[in-house]
Amino acid sequence: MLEAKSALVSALAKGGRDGADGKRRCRLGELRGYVLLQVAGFPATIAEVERALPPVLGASLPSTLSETVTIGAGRVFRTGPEQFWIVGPAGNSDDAEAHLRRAIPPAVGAVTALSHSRTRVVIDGACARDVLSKGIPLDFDPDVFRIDQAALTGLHHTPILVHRAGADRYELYAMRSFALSIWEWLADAVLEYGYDIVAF
Amino acid sequence: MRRSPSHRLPTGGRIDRARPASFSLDGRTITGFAGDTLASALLANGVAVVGRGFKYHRPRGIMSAGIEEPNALLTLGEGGRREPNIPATMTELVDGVVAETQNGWPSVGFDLRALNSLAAPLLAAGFYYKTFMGPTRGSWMFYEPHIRRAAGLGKGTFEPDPDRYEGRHDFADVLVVGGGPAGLAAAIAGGRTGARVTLVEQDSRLGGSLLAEPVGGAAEAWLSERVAEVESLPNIRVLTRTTAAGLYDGNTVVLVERRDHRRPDPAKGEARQVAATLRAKAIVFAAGALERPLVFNNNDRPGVMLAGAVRTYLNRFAVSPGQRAIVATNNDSAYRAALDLAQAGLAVTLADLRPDVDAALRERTEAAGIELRTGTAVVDVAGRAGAYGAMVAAAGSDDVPSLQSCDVVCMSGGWSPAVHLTSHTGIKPRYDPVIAAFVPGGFAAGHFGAGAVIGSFGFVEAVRGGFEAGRRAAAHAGHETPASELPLPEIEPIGHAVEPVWEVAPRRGGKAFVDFQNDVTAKDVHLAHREGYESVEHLKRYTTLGMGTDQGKTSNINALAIMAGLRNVDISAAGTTTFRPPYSPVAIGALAGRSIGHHFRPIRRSPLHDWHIANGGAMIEAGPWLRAWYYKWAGDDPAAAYVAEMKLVRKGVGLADVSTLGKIDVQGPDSAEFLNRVYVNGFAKLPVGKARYGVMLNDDGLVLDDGTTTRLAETRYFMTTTTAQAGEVMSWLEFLLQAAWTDLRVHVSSLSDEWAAMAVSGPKARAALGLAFPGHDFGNERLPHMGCLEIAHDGAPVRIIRLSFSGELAYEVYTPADYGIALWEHILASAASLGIKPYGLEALASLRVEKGHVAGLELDHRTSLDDLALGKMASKDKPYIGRELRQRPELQAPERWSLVGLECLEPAKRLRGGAILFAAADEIKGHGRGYITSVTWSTELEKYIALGLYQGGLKHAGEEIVCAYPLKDEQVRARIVAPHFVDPKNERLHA
Repeated sequence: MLEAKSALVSALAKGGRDGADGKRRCRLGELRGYVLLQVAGFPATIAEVERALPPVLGASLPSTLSETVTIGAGRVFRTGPEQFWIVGPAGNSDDAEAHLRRAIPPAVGAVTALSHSRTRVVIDGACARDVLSKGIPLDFDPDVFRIDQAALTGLHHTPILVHRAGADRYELYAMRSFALSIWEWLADAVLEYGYDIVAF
Repeated sequence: MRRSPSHRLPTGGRIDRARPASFSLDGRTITGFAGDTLASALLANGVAVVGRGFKYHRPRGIMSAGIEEPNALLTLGEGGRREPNIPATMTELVDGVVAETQNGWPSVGFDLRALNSLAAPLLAAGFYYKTFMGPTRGSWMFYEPHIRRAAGLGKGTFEPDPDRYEGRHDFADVLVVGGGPAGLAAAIAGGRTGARVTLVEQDSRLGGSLLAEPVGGAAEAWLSERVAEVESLPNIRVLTRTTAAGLYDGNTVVLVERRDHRRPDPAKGEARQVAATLRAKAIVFAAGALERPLVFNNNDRPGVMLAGAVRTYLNRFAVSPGQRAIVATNNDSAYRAALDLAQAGLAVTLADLRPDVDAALRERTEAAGIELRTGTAVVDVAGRAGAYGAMVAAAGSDDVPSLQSCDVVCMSGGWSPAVHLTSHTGIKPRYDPVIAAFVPGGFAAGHFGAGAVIGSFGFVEAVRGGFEAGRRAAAHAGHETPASELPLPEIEPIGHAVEPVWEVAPRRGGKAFVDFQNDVTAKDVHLAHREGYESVEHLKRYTTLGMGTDQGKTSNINALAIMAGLRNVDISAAGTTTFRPPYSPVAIGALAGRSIGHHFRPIRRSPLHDWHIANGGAMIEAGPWLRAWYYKWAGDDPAAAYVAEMKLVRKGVGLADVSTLGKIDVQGPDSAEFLNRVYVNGFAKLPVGKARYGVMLNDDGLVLDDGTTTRLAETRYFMTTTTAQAGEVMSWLEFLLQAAWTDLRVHVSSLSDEWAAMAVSGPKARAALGLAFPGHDFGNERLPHMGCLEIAHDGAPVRIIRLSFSGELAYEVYTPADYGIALWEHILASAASLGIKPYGLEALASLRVEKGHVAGLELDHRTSLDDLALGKMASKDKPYIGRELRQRPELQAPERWSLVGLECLEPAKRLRGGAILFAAADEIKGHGRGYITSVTWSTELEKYIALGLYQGGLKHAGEEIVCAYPLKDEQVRARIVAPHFVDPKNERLHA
């Protein structure tokens, strides 16, 4: 198998740093080994797409951009009025794409593999919201941005999808070509709090 | 500086006498306590002169106790931390602060530049335009550097700032601006409803005007209880040392928080300032009011201070001004200062400009032992480097004034609500004659005001009004729980009744200052009026009043009122100038935050980036991207390296990273139709498995971009664009589908980051692919020119498109990004026996010039299809974007500049990009007949060649022209040729 390399190889190797008071309040890392597939309908066919997908996924579809739906070990995001991202563990990647193409023929919609186009960065810890607030113009109040909600937003002048994956855990889907820049921004923003680099 | 015995009172004040602190001023140590500002510590130590005036270099002392301070501006910090023009009144005393006075040479105590004063008549308002204009036209440029050296405030530094600044995004239900009585009440009212409240206060502690009240009184008790409640509510967040710098649309406020007192360590990630962009659902403005000076002769002398400030120094900082005080006023509020000074044991004379005073107030004043003289004016001050007396006379009379000795002159011309922030979104303030001041002109929905900022000057009014405003703000934000009432402070009311006197008996001779920071006197206002600069906007710019770092906080109202009087109009008719953010100076660092150095903007990297870095790739910025410019194997000098890389590609085989190209997935039943509409040439009939070069135009008929699009399936295409235009083309396609052609069943997705891409180029390219992917046929039938093949290698998908940018036999090889480096290394290793090596951007760009391919420098949105000799590509059978307007006469004109090739005729010289082209017989002047767009050394022709745009284009093929480069005073002869320098019959492509 041809070796797959992350955009963050050199960054992850650098390890974490103590914060201003010597502690490490957050964990940073990259999530790998996942598949990202985009399914999109056309304005005339979106109703058909929204009928065809749930049986294949085994779950309903999110009705708004901020809602996400769990599917087994994966998740469905709505990334546009006629567009969904399906994120799941790798391993059955070819099967997943094939299943989707069978359910969504070319006349009805478009299936696009995007697994390499994003780098999935995770920040977890008590300081996560404060860190992200330094660069993302969203209200991270835990009662406003609730667990398993997501947002399409921006960080450091690049488009980002943010998913609140846990009480203090946030996953960022950054463009792969900007991944190292985004990582450096995060590592700098979390500096005062201290961080460990962990494998997620 | 004159030194007197300590002015610190033995008890009292809100300072912590258990924690002494000191700072250095011009190398001399000044001691004080925690809780002091630099200004209060200076006054406690009897320091009278702290600066020099801007123009006249008159000695100046501390005038106020707040952000409105015009005189006591110091330079703080050393080296890269040096920061000029910081008000001493706003700087907390923390051990180790290093400060310098400004604008005095050799010192503020003895300033030779005070000789400027002798030239005063030459330095009146507008003097730049009048005095220093001759004898010759260039004279001003001679005077200007001298004037600049003689005037001015502090000096900055060119050293980089080592400190850290950050930005932040914030959200709140209710933002309360100001932590005085009104603001505290508003925050509590909002907080009790459960709303998320943010309370910001510019000072280091909450309290506002209450901090000027005597310690141990009813005010202090009330304040402590309110602060305790604020701190106990978890939904109220308090930000002290935080200025609301600007109000913007969408209820957005920029807050600047200062953290110097914590001694932040930048190496540990600690910021010294944080600029927060806060979006609130509702805002309560409780920013208070600023006291105005009175305008009389020599009101700028050290020892002449705002009455409220003297009271603040007395009660908050336990600093006494001396033994005798004179209070000059036109309103009731200054009586509080007089009473507190008398209580502290000073002998006080109160000169009230008004003929009558409220009887109860008079009784109370006289009972305190104060000499009260109504209908009396202070008309002058005696003492140059420190007031020792005031000249007093009957108000409005010509009587000879009498000298009354004193240590301090306290002046109060009334109070101006701080309407700046409330006016930032364009609601102009309005004049209220009852309080003789401007108040906010109105509030937008969701905005509320309370306390002195809306002209409610009394404590009880402020607290009631603040509470109601907070309640209404919380309701506006959706929180309706009723909140119980607040107790009211038991403070004996003294009102703010005022009778405005804008200019005290203008006298001949002497200077009565209106703007202390920019040295603008009442005479300057009169002068402006005489010369016709009578609108408030002209007055400001002609005299420069209000244009200093204090932005006229103590001068604007007095000045426009004097002008209104001269013009004989109502003050409301005179109006104010426009208030704009920031309210007070903001360090540029705070606005930059962490967008500095490499992170000024994000950097975009290819999936092969790490390999280039590890293998001798010299990187260069290309827009947001970092690209391999050339590789060290080819040489250390870029000029030689790219030539070696070009030779490799022309003779052998090279490998280039072209991952930065835009890549777009186009899917859907109407994809073919979509591409037909977007490209000038046809794509509907492109066979599956084939690629085609396409050009797309803007609506205006000019070229937008070019690229290669491959048909992968009946309803699926893979489009590439230029690197530079990738984002723009993607947005354009999305716009067309979402706004113009919503009926088309097409979906586009960016794949720019999904795929890595590399070009295998050169006569040995086919052989290289054969070695890298044995078992696959790359012959001309299986993979013809512009054909596409999809294979797998070691479990990874690989797409190979045979097309060429260099003009040699070439293939673009794509694989998903994570596999990019592994595949790249595999190709290099497999084809090593062929001598394959990587080549970079410089060689890539140069090879295509030899081939005559247009790229970004030619596709600059000013060139048409015909300019680039691509007119034949345009279909005659189908509509496409830009079809009509490309036919407009202007784009068909024969004298348009169109694409030519150029060969350099002078071996000892070179051609340069941007060189201006002239016909051989032309005078070398002006814009010429065209310019060079792209240049390279040609390894094939062994001379410099170029592409360019020339009037009339290839009609002039064969002619000798001149390429002029005026910046280097060069002229080089060149010949116009067809732009295909290498393999014009394309034999290599079809090998």
